[in-house]
Amino acid sequence: MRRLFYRILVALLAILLLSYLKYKVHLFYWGSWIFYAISILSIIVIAIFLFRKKGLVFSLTPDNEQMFKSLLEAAPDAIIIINEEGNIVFVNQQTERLFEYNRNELINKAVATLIPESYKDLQLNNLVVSAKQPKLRLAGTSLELEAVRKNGQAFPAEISLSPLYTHNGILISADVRDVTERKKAQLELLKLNEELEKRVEERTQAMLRSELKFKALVENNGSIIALFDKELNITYCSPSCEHILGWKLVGGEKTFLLNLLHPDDVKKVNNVFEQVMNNPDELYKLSFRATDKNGDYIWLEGVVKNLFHDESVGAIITNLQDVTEQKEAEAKIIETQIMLRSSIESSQNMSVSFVDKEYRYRFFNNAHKISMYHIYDKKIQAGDSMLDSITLEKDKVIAAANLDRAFNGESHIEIQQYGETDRGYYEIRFNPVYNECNEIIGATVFSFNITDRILSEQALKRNEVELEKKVQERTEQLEASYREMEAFTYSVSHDLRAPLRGIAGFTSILQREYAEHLDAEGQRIANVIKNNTLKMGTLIDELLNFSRVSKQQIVKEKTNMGQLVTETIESTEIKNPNTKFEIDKLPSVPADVNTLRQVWVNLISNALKYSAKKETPEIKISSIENNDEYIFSVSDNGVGFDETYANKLFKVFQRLHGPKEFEGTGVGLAIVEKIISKHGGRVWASGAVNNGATFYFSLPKR
Amino acid sequence: MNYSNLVDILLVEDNPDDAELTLRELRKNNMANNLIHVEDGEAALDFLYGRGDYAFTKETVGLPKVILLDIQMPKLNGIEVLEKIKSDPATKAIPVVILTSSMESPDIKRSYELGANSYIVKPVSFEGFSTAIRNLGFYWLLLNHPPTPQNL
Repeated sequence: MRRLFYRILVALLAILLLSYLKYKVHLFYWGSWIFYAISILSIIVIAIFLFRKKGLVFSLTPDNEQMFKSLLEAAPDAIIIINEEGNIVFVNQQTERLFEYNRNELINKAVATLIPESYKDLQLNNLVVSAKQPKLRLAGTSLELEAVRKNGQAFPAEISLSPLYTHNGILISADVRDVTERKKAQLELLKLNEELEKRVEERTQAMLRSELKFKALVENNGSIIALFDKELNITYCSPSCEHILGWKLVGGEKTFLLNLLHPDDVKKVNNVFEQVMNNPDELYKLSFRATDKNGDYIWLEGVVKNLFHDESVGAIITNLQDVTEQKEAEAKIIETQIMLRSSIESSQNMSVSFVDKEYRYRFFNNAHKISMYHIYDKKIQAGDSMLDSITLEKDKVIAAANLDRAFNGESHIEIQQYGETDRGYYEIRFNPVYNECNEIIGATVFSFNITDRILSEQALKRNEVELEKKVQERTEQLEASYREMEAFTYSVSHDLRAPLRGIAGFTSILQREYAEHLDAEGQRIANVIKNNTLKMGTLIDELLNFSRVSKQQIVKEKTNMGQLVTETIESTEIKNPNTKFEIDKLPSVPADVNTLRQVWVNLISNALKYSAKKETPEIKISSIENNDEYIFSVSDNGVGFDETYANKLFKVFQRLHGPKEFEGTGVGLAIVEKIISKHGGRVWASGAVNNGATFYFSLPKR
Repeated sequence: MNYSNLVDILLVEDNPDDAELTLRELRKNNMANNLIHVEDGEAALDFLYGRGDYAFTKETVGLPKVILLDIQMPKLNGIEVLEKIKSDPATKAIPVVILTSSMESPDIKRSYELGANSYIVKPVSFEGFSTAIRNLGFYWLLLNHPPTPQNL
């Protein structure tokens, strides 16, 4: 090939020379153009030729053959020289080692032997191409293919091919390097890279999540988290801002902080921010009022820090809380405290003190101070021991016991006496005081001087006792006199009867045994005597009856009045056979049976007695009922009575008719009155002379 | 126990008029033959226990068939006498008729509680009184069987 080039070159140069020589006079002919073109072309060709052949243009001469052989043998890589037909012409030691062949096995064999099946076509192609167009391959830009050893094991190999120009033709030198390790390492690296990638991905994700989390925290925080720039404009504001204040602060109407503030707080906030600006990284407290969208003021409290120096923040950061409610509550508490304090202080009567567990005064009001001075002659001061301020030993003991009970958690009220120089009664309330941890730290003592009350109570009690005594005495007297009266009536009745009996008896004896000495008149007189004694006897009986009724206790039971009346009528002697009874249905009422029987007997016998003279005596018995009582009535159509004297009817011995008209003692109605009034009822009567009479009595329903 | 039938009735009555009327009635009905009259409770007990003035009589006359006992009496009243009689085994079997003016229920109650055999109220009217006495005599002396056996 080279010779050809030389020949062409020479020919061109010859042409050039000839043409120049021949036509040197006519330089600017059209032929000169051809001349120039050809010359330039040839120069170019030469240049290319020269430069291309730099480097591996090498001729294998017998001189340098040996040198090369040594080089090849010593080479660390496997070197295989292949001829144009693709047969191996030479292998070095390394090749033998690498491919595990003996060189004799390889020489003149096709290079395909060393190429695995899968690559055969590809590699062969490469080889052909390389051979035909020898290119310079620099290290690192070699082919990465596979080769196969004698035992059939394929392995990755890096192959560099270089053409060798020998006088025998072009040979191809293949530099084969086993890159198994390298491949492995590459794979490892890849894997590692993948790992790394994965880890980085994970880390990134984690960071992302973390970031999101923090973002969420900030956004969802109840507090206002805001960032300010140097001019106190709000550059960021968490969503709570809008919730709490109602404004859209960043980029909205109220970006500049001071515009939001209550006028009274502006100066204060300015001061704080000044300090903040001058002291980076220091935490300051903030408290101010801000207007919300409705125009109300919201109390905000929190912290502020200058973080301009921090790259990730680059602003003043604040964290504020809406404490409006707390502030209002605080204000209320303070108000209440003031009220309480002043009322405690101003109270004249209520002595208030608060002692700790060592009995020392933590607080006392004026009233207490005065009181202690008054009763113990002691001027107390805060921190003094309450117990020691009590100068009287027995009072001290009691006070200590009271306080100890309070320190044990017991709230109690005592009424005790205290005082040395002036002793009085006090109502004292002890209450334990707890701290936030629910431990008892002391007790409050509220004391009222109740001496007056106690003294008046005592006086009252004495009066009561006196009164009781008096009542007792009076009752005894009454009972005594009552018993006297009883005894009196008892003996009277007995003592009165005996002589009566005597009179009647002996008169009878006279009549009987001395009849011959008595004429008719004498007998009559004797009868008169006897009659009188009988009368007197009746009177005594009635009186006794009356007094018995007076002292009797009535026992109220449900009494069937109708039945009672019927019984009474049946057992009463009815003198006039024409007597007509008209009896209404009578209710059952609470009453004492025995005495009510007496009442009916008396009333009915009266009715009979005073109407007996009539042709047809009519007696009507009825009752009516109202809310509170039953009213019974017995009316007759007899002689009646003059209502003018009605008030005398029910009195003892008072009669409105003489004994000639109607016999009677005048005690019957008095007995009725007594019985009924014992029942809690009333008696009354109405009537007219010769026009009958009606007697009423009432009985209460309970 | 020595019982004889010599005493029929022991009349304990302080009021002389009442006593007289009673005696008259009994005599009229032939029931006063064996009657002892004492005027107060103490004498009654003396008689029954044979002491005091009656120290010698008990042995001879024994115990009565019936005692007519008034309540209202000086010294020892009828109730007390009744109590004494009825609580003493020697005398508690003797029938006792309370003969009194008192209609007071406490007296009546107490008398029965103490063991009186009968309670008669002396009526004011003489007729009533004499009827009562007559009935008493008939009942206790003739109809009723006394606890004291008749010595035959």
